[in-house]
Amino acid sequence: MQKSNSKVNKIKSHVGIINKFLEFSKRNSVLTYITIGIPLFFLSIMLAAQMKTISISDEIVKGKRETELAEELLTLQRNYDDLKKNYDDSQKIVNEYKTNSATNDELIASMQRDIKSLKALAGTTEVKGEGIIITMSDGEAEEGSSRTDALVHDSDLLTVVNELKSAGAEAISINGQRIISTSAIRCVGPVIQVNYKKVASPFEIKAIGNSQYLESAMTIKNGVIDLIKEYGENITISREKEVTIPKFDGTINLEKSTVIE
Amino acid sequence: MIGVIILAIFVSVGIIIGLNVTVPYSYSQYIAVAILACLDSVFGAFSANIEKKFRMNIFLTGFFMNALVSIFLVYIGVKLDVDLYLGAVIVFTGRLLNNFTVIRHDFILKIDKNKVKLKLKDKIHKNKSSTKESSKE
Repeated sequence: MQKSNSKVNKIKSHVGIINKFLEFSKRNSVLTYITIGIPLFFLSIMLAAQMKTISISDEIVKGKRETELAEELLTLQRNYDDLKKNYDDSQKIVNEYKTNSATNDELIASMQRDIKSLKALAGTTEVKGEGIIITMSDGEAEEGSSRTDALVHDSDLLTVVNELKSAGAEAISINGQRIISTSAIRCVGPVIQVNYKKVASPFEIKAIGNSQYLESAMTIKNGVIDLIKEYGENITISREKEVTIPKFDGTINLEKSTVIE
Repeated sequence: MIGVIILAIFVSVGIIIGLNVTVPYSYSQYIAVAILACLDSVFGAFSANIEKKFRMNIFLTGFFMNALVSIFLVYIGVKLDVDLYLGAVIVFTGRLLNNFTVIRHDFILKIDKNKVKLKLKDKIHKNKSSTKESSKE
């Protein structure tokens, strides 16, 4: 009973509050204000949202609708794709050219290196490097032997040159005449011809190569120099840190031979 | 006083919600016209109140129906590729300005009336005081 009483009391008090509120609202016409307020509420929502969106998008685009922009974007993307393709293709071509030119450059460089070394070997350029200088001159004839034995012969020069070549000489000259693959050393009367040019005693043979090897090849016991010295010729050998050998100053003409590739 | 507070609460809550809502840009045209229609009906309510012709039903229906019809107009205009929203904008702004002139006239009239009243009161006071003084003498 008590519980139900309290409940009733509570309800009564609630009803009282509600009644008071209703009276209050009637007096001040709260209901009309609320009914006016609801539209105003919607209006303010729209205003704020609109102002916000306009302020955001006004900076980006003006007077363009989404569909137009989407279409524009699509066309631009298509254009971009096409251009990208073109760019990639041309980039490929450029890369090809680049690699080709790089290989070309390397080829040219190696060819130039080849040309240089071949020129040096062929004797068409002046060369310098470590080597030896051999001087040979006619000696006094010993008694009991013919005078010509003490002279420097073409065969002596040939053997010396041959020995130098076998010892690894890279360039040889006799009295300023470069010995090349077609050079001939022969006796013409009282003088010796090298490259069809007359040279006379004293002969100065210059050779570029490992000077130690060259010298030891020359001075080996019972070697070329020993044999020649026996005939009474004067021979001196000197190791040089730098020997300059002039280039072959004739012309090289290949008349009959053609290059087979 | 309570009415103003209630309205202020409604408006401020609406602004707070509106600032957190983003409208797609393609719909902003519709909403702009709807806003104009709503503003027009609000001002119309004020002017009707001044003329003592205000009715809640008309205000509410006008508020929502005007907005919807104007949005519909803009929609048709977009479909027909005619800028029909311009018509809505012109009509609503014109009515808005008319309503505003009515409100202004009334406001100024009230001020003038108050001034006249004040002057009259002053005059009465002066007269009374003068008569009193004269009677004393």
